[in-house]
Amino acid sequence: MASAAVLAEIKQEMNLETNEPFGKAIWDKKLKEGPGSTPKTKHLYKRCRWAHTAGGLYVDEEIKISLQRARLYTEAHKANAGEISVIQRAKCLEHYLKNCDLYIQDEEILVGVNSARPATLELYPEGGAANMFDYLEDETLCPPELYDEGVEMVEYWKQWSLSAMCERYVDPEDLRVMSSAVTGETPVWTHFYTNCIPPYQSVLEDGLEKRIEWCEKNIKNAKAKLRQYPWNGEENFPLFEKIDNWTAMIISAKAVIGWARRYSRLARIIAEDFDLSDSVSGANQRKKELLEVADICYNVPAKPARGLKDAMQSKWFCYMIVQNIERYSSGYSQLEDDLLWPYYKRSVIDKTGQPMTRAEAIELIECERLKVCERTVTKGRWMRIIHPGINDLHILSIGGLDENGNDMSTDLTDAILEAALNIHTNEPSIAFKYSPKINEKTRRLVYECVSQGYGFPSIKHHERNTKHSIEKHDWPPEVAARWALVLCMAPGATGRYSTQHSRNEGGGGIDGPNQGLLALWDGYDDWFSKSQVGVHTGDASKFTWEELLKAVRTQIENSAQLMFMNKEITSYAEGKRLESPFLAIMDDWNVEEGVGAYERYNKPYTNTWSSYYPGPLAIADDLTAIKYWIFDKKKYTMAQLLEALKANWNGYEEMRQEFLSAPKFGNDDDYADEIARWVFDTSTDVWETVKMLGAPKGVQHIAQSVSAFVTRGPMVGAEPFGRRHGEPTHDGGVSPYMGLDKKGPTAVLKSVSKLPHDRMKGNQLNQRLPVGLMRESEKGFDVWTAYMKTWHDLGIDHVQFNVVRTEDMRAAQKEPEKWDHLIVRIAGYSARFISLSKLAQDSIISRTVQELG
Amino acid sequence: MDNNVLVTNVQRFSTNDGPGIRTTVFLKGCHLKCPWCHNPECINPYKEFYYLEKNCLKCGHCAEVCPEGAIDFQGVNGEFPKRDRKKCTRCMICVNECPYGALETVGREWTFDELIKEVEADKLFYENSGGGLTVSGGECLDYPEFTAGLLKLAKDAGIHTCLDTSGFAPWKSIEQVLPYTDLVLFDIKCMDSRKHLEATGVSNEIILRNAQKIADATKKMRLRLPIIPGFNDELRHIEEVVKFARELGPAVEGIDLLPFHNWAEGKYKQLDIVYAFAGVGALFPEHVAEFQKIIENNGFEVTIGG
Amino acid sequence: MTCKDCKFFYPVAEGEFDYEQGKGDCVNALQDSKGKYWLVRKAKEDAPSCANFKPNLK
Repeated sequence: MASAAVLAEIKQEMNLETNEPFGKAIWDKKLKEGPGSTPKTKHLYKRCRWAHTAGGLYVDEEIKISLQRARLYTEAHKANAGEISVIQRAKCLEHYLKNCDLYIQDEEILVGVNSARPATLELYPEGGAANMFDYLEDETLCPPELYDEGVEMVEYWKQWSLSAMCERYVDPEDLRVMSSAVTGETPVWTHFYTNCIPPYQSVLEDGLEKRIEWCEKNIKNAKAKLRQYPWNGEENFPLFEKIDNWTAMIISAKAVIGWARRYSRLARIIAEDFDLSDSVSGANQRKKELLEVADICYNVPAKPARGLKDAMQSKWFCYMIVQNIERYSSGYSQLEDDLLWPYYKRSVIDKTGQPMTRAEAIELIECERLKVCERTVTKGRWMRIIHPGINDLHILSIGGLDENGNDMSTDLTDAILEAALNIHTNEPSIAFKYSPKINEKTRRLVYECVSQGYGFPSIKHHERNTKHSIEKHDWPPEVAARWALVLCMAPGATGRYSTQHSRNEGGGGIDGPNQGLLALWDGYDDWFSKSQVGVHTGDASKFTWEELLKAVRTQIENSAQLMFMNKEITSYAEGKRLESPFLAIMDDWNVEEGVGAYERYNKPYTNTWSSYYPGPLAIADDLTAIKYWIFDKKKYTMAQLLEALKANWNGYEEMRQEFLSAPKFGNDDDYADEIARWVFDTSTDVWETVKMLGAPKGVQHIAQSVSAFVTRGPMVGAEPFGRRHGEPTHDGGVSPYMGLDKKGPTAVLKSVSKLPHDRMKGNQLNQRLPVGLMRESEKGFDVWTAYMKTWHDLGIDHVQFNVVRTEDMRAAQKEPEKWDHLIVRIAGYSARFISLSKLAQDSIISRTVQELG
Repeated sequence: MDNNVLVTNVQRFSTNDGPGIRTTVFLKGCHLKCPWCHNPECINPYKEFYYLEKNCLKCGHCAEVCPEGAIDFQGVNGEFPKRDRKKCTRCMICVNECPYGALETVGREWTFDELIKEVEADKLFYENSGGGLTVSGGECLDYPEFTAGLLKLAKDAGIHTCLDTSGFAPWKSIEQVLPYTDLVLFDIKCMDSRKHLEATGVSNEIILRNAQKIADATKKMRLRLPIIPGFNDELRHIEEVVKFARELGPAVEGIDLLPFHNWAEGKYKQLDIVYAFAGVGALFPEHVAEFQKIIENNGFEVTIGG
Repeated sequence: MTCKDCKFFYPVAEGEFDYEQGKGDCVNALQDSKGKYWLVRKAKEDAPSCANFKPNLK
């Protein structure tokens, strides 16, 4: 039973005097007063520059491109022509950080931006022409005066870009297939999308100056080794490249210190010379804050963090560089409570460095959340389209157990959750590493966030995921325990050493549903690309059941092979062309070995994974319907089915109803669940058979959907289970098709538990729970706790919840201006409902909810 | 054995019909005719059908195949087919013929094997939440052998059992069921027998007597109070119930206030029944806060929503 | 009048990371539909003054 004392403590911390259910009380309070726990964060929320996109378009019409980064990078690239690539990259970063515009916004206490102005987007010409033209050709985004200059840059980078290099290794026929987007994600180098986990600890603990000294010492030692008699070519030859890498690391780290100190100067100038009388904190207080910002930005990231304020600022600076300036990289990956705990303890609990109150710490975390919402992101349209309602995938992780099974959550974990309850932003999403062993207060706060309808924390099974990394990635237990999600679903190592740096190591995916459909059409896609995108597997109208299964597996193998090949090509090319020396100096392994950030030879903790997105359950439901009506009941033939599918079920409504009524995954029905198990096992077999660099146990496999389930509708033809072409596909990795799970959330868990979680790195499950139970009843927490205990006992990998009223979503469609606070879970992340396309909104509404009478 | 017992729904993840996460089996048929009933499909003891307008493509096929001429479809002005349920003999031909799934049978016979398999499927959830099986309705005591049989199967499987009843049944039936029941959820609609008769079609005398007998049998029970606007949403009612609950003695573990909600409106429409509470707003916890306080002050554990 | 003579021009000290002879920082308070922000840009000392120019009385 829920402890009344725990609830009372939370209420007291959050200044909530009420006898009403907590979730309802805090919801009502936010509606009345606006989100934010202090005047500062209330103000920042109101004027937040949401940088969300919907349907691939930026929702805020004021957002425009700037060519500042592209221009400065191009200048430096030309000026350093012929230089070793990694040093040239460092010089580009240095040139940019010296000359770029900077700004600090009103009331900010956390500073640092990646754009020339608020609401501008910076471009990455080194990625390739496709992305550049995507933005340049868009009149809503490109001011006309920038167009010609942009085209000129594209012309220059043609010979130097990542995409230009990658194309060399790919057969044009394969390139056509991969670019069709039918078999899976288009190659990374066409949309210039990547992801990583920056090893923040090293900078927070050491400061960059110490790391520069380390590189300098390494260079000195290397040179001494070269002078050692007798000459040893085997040992000495690699040192040349290492010296280049260390040199590039030093250049970039020095530049980052200098850039942070430019912020320090700016903050001091604003404090001393500008009128601050309209600050919500009052002019004197604001001046004090800005002088403190000046002090902090002088200190970090050059030196170790003295307390929470330094740590938060140092982390933000590193984030800006690694994931926004040096390169664009998606995500906000970190184990935040573990990372910041020493500094939180020092400032908030022991008061020995940068002392502050708990409430001030929460305010700072709220500021961080808002800052993430304002991050402007330029990624290929393909990725923007599948990420509606957000600016990027921002997911941080908290919670979990250490390698001895002890609860790792702290008062900071609670503060992070309380800040999320206060500020009511959809970003960053939070992943919670769940175990029933975690203390009740933290679990209660997780529950309360879920009950607000945030869709997060998204919950991952701590022990299962830890075990998987020990067994499949061979990470030591203490590393495996401290995982954080890289993006939506995949754990990666955190800490100082050998974290994941690129999507080519872990990320990307193939389409689930189409692998099954291609087996029905001899590899031909008649719905989107109108071309042969799969392999020839024969005329399905003559298939036996066994032949059909074999054809499905062959299509999976073929599409997966293209993905894996392309990941390794891109990995090679980014090492040659797109090194990130600042990311490298953050990582102890890279500094120790003198290797580039994208090096994967002999990397200690590789994180080799890729996904299905959308997930492969569609294959399972399709095969189940076929088996049921064609091979078991023998009511229809394969030929008849193909005819009906070709017609997109038009004129075959009665037959479609029957195929819809065939057993479906998600109803605790072994008939369907066993076929789903076959699909997952078969796919995992394929992934495990593949040996990517540094992955002797194969590539680890994840089923998820991001939000591709809506946007990929037009790319997935009519399906045997009853779906028509264009309609949304299955919305999770392992979530039953919306509306077809008839038996409620317990039956869904039972079905999902039959899938091979132990073999997989992740399986995304979306669930909807009733608002009345979760937010408006006293027993919600107890019911949910029991539900989660069972989920945990069943060994299911993941679950995330939508707690939202259908009526509220309908009302928000009619009067969006009144519903800017409505957040829904899409798939791997949470979105502002009003920023979504009508189609996405409708498909979320139509997901089943078990309204309980 | 009871014949032709129809089940309208086996609801897993049921959280309002007893403690924890439960599976509730709803039986079809009830002698009470409460106009606010949340489960109108459970009133008649025979098979019926829902009409799901959202699936209807207005093809008129149902009207063509109805042997009784009970479905009117002119196909003009975009009107939907209309059913005359009085003429309908529930032959279900239209349901079977509808190509679009717009007509759906409600109520089917389940074997004990089927039922217990479905109930046992969520055993892990019951164990972790203190939940189990609830047999509800309709009035499940109209089928005492069936209900007792099902409850016994669950008990044998180590599953906690609840009986959800209006209390309107011969004591003989209750006696049959009680040995397999861990907790009785007992509805009290109003204490005034004349008013009870007017509203529900039956007097409450048997009901109150049964409540006392169950309590005397030292069976654990919770009283469940639907709070209906304009009928019993008054302090006097609550005071009377509390007094009665004290008389019942220590068997009463608690009292659940069930504020009126109008979620059932859709089901009335699908059954072509006029809903007497159309347009009546739902009651929220704040509306019954005062009732809650009174009950608490009298020493009873109280919940809103069960 | 050139940038150097402006109230909003801040020279960058020698030895700073971004020191470049003949250049300094131009700092302005700006406002758009969402809110206020303070912007620093690189400016050449001898660039002709702009519309924001205010004489430096320090």
